[in-house]
Amino acid sequence: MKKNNLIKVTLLMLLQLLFSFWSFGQTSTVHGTVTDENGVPLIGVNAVIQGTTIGTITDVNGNYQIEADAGSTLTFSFVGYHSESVVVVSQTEINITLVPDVTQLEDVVVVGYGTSRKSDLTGSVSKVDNRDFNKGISLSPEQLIKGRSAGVQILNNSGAPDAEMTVRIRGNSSIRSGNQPLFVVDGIPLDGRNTQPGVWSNLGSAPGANPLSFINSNDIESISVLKDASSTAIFGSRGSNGVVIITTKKGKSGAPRIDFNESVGISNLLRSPERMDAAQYRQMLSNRNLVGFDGGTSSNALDEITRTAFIQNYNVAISGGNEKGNYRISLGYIDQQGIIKGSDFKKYVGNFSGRYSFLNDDRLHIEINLNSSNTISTGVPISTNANLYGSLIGNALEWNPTVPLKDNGDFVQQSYSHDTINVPGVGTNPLALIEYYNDRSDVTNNLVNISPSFMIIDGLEYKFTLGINKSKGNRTTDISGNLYLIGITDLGYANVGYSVITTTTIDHTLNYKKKIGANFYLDAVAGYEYLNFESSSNNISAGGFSDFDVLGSQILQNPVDGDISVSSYKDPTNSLQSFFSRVNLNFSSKYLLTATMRADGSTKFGTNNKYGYFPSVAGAWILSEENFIPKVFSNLKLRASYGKTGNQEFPAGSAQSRYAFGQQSLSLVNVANSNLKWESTVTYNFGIDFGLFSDRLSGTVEYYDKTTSDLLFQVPAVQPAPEANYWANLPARILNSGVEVTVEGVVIEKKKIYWDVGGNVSFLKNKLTNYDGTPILTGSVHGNGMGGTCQQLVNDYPLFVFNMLTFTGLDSAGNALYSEDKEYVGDPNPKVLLGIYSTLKIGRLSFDVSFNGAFGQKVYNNTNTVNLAPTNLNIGRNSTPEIGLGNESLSNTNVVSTRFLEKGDYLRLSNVGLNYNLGSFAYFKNISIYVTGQNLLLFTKYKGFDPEVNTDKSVDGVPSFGIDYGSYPSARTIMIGINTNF
Amino acid sequence: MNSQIIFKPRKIYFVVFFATFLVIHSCTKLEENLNSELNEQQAQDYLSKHTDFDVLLETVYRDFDNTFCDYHNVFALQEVTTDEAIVPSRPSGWEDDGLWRKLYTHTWDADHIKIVDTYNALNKGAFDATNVLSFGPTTEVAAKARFLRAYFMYTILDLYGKFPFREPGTELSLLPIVYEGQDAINFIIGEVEAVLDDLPADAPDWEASKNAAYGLLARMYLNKGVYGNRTSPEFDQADMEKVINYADLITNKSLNFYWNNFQPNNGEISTEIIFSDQSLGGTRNNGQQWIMYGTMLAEATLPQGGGWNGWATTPDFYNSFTDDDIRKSYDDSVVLEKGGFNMGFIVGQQYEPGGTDPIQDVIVTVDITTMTGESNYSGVRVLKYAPDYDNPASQDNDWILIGYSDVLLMKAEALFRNGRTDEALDIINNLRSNRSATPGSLAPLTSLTESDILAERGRELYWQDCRRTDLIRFGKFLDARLLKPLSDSKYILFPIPRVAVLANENLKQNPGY
Repeated sequence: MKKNNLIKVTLLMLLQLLFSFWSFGQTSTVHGTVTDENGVPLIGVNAVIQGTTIGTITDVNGNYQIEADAGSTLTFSFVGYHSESVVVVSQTEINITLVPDVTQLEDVVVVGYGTSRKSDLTGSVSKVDNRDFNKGISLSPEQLIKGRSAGVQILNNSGAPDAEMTVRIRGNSSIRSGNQPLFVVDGIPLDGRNTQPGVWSNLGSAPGANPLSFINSNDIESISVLKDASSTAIFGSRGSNGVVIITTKKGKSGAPRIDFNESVGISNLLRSPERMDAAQYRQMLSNRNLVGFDGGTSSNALDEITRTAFIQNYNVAISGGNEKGNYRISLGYIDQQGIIKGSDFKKYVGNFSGRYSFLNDDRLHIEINLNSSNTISTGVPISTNANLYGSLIGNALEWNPTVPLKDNGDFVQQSYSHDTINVPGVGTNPLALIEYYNDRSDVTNNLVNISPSFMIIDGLEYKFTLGINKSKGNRTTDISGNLYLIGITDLGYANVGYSVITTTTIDHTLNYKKKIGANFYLDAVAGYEYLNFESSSNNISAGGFSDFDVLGSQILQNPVDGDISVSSYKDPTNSLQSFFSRVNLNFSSKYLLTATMRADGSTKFGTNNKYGYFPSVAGAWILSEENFIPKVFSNLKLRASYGKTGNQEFPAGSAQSRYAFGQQSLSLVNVANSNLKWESTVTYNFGIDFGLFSDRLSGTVEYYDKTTSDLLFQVPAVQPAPEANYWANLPARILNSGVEVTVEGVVIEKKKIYWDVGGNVSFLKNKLTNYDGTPILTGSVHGNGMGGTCQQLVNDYPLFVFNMLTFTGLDSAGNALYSEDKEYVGDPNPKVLLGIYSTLKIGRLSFDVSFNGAFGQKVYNNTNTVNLAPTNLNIGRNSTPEIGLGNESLSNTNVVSTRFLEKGDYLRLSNVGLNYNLGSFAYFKNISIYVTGQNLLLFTKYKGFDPEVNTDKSVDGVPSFGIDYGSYPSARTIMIGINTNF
Repeated sequence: MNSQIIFKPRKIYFVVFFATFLVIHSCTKLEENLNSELNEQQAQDYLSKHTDFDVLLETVYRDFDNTFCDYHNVFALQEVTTDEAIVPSRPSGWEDDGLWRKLYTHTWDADHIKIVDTYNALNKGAFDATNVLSFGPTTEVAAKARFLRAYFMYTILDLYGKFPFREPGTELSLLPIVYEGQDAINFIIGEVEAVLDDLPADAPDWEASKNAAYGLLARMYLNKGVYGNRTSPEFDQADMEKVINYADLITNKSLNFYWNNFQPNNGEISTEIIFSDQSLGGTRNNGQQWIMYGTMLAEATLPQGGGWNGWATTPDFYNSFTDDDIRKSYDDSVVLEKGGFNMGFIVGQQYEPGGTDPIQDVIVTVDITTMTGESNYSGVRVLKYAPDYDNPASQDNDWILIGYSDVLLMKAEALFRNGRTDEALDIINNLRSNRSATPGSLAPLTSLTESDILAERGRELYWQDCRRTDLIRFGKFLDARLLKPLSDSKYILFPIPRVAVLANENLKQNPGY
């Protein structure tokens, strides 16, 4: 295109804009009222003179007034209603009744690169609207749909307020990290990595934080979970683990309104492992002739480090709009204390969304979303791999209950001496750990997207999307030299980390919707997408400070040069370039066909495999439209789909030879693999959707079968090699199959009483096959005297099967007996997932309850293995009454065995909400007050804090699953709050 | 307005709009820029500007760190499998999935994590040295790289009986050939002898030099017979002459006070170190300090606090020393002042810093009675390298890979094996005289047997990475000893890690595994 032409075109465009503001002819005043079919005035209805931009909106009483020419046509339109047009002849009053548009109100589900009516879906998509979200406080969006979607396991890795979550859609399908689904917020796919810099010290590595906590739960309209390949294949090489699409709230047509929400609450420790109290401990000491460890007092270290924590949450949103545009601006603030003293999480989120229509026939739309957040968290010394120094929880559990944590105002450290009492070698003091540990993270996230769309001809729309997500994280961690701990005492430690992740998304899509003939409907999308991920970090750590009154992180120059270490890194380029298309065909609203295709090129792939292709096809037959199906079925649909998706979650740069700089050195750090490519998953899905009695009873039954091949894995390099392992596609398969059943029903539907009950149950199976290598070891165990691993990836077993000695009991002398060899002894993957939820409304009162559970999985209690081992009593630490007061030999060390492999079955009363609608008062409308309870009850036989746990015990990038080690304990939370708008 | 009129230009806008974006974002070629790192070509360019290749050689030197000096790798395999070190589990820990017990009792298998890790670490060293050669370096750099590679290959051969080998520049996907037994030792000896002339004569102890090569050659010729037949080695007279010749070629080295070799500043003060892995105090450590933490009690005052209370030596080994021997125990004034303990073997009542105030109830006893659940204070502790209280995080002590006394004892052994017993006795008695607690206290030997030589090597070189090799050469490695019955002969070699055998069909598993 020549430059001249461009100028001409621009001029024409401006002219056109000018012209559209002109109006013609004689005018007279027309007024009237717009109501709905029940005669209720409608506020904010657009009244526009056709072919012009002249218009007005109705006021709070539904009234309008407009200057209109005789002969012109007045069009009344309102979201959710059919538009009405009236030709102005000589009337001065025109009253209009608008009729709801049922098709428009029908449930619309956001799918990849578009939307679909729920009835038109051929794939497996479950959508949860905000009214069905789990009630209570939630720092990240996954919590909102926990237990609400069949086949989706959402697991809090620990009880920390900002803990990472493990989300598994239809099971584990990878043998390296990066098993999380792809999260897409308003069309922008997220990087998935967390910007909070990691920290490592003598106390181990701190667990990661949730990368999604930048989203304000109160801003979310709905969450769709895309489960089968028909719905995820359009995301190509990032779709294998399923896709979670988060749609934020938008302004609605009508007068501006302010929504306000405030809630405050408390939380406390849910439960704790059994240990000896002071009296039992003293008894044990005397039984076992160890009285030298009697400190003469009584203490409960876990009580001392935990607290009743306060939570407050405020949200304000201003929204409004008309036919030409809408907006919503919101601000949210959460301050959530953790139940461990010293842990705190604050979050500030601002959100703006707007959609505006331009040109006189609304051919141009621009949509803008802007989310800006800042999270500030202060952490406590809890790590995933604490060694003999233990981390906070371990030290609290094994603290000698006869020794106080503080004596004369000073922390009891190293040993305890008081009068004649002298207890040698006390453990690391957990209260001192909290006091002398200072960890602050500050993460700022900005997610911006702008997407203009243009209707070229009726039915054909072009859309451009530019999205940028920039996240910056800062973290300072200090351990004071006043703490008694090897490597810390009199030295101190400080770490300052900074990291930034930028994700850029550029999309072009063309969407064509066309009704062909009477019975045929076509909806097609074609597009191009460019994604770029940038990530860099730097870090300074130092030890050996000369003073501990000032935080080391503020005087990093203080130690000698050699004790300061500095590193910085920028990830290799990581870009994806993709072409995709989807065609939906609908014949007579009975037969539906969807086909999708995506070609993904990635900088990460080896030169021999630059592009991957991901097709899918799906069909559905809406039986309820057929005459031979009894009318009792308001909906009956059969669905089947097949498709291929990929996973490319391996580090950028893995396909090439890379030379890395060390201290005055340069080393080859990677074995190149030019064949490296994505991991492929082929999924078959069969489903039946049904609705009976006008959908009072509805549900879905689905069966899926997923086969993942070309597994991305770090295979052993052929020595001699620069690294022990390198990335390759392993010729093995992971099979996941399962059945998911969702049933929802309205039990009572009367004027004053309404009661519905819903639930879902999923049955999952998982196995590694066609693998002929040596068992891959993972699930490292840590702690004093602990080493090695307890899980394996091995052929024909479920992923992460536990492999350890079988504990066969104690002999007469109290010595522990074990099997000769290690055995495959349990599966950490749940066999059954359950979610149950119900709402009861009586008049203005409504009551929500939800349960979730997981069954059939084992959890390895690494915490108890280490912190409550019999041998602990020899050195004045605590253990269970069973061990301490029995006749067990204290030379039983902390052997990894089935003794601490426990059933992880649980059922949790996860959310309870009670809401009372007070109605309107003065300026305030819809005032409601509510009480919510989260995590109120936990039914389990597990002996640790909580069986829903997943400490990161990965080995060389091979993840673990179902191991509990010193993780942040779970809390029970109760909130009260008020909602209103005006 | 007439919609007919505006329709056409609007179409043009669209085309402009759409085309502009497509031009801006025309398809990328998906090239991967490594940012912080260099690709093959960039590395080549970089090295063409830095022709001393220091950065690449530095990588190889750093491969010695931890591999030879920490308690995890070569040290674990060479020491815990012998009478010099025993690691029972205790209340203080060290259960570690039974891995230490399996080493001590000779019950390991091909998946033993220390056996796998050591194999990978040594091969990485061999690879990184080979990789220097693939960039076409100068003759001297190439000589250094080949010497260093030989050191790694020899260690792999000694532990595993064979080693894989690729020529420089070979694709890493191609399977390496494997050298085994007598061929293997001949190949490595040939490699070192080929570069002798090109190695520098006056390099520091921690770099490849002529002295280092002489020392390694002496060691290889002394053990050469072992690689032909491990269970009953035969020692060729000509090989022993080579040992003597190479030992004699070493220049500028002499015996000094024994404990000077192990001080934080040993790199500066010792006259005995022939080849070492350097530590830079406060900046970069080779990992040897962790051996100290591994053996010392939690109650001890070490530079970073207490120890991890695990490793000990066997009573039999401890009893092979007499009190006249400075190597058994030495009160270093700094260590006594700041730590309260002696150097060498630590036993009996323990003291606070200063060495006068006893620590209540902390008394180390000699005997060890079980591998599982032993008590906290059983077993003599061994402190070879002095704690560096000035550099608590990163100790300064260099780790001796080849020492002068080792070479002297090798020479004595070669003389002895060639029937020149008197000359051998002179060397050993000269050494004993130097190692006396007070001048002349350690009585000279009047006669010499094989076991005298082995015992002297034990007393001189304990916890220095060579006990297993020595015991094998003297035919004692498989013998029954405390808490360990006679071992099956397969344990004379470590197994090749199972993953390595699967990855390379040229690499056959050692017999019995």
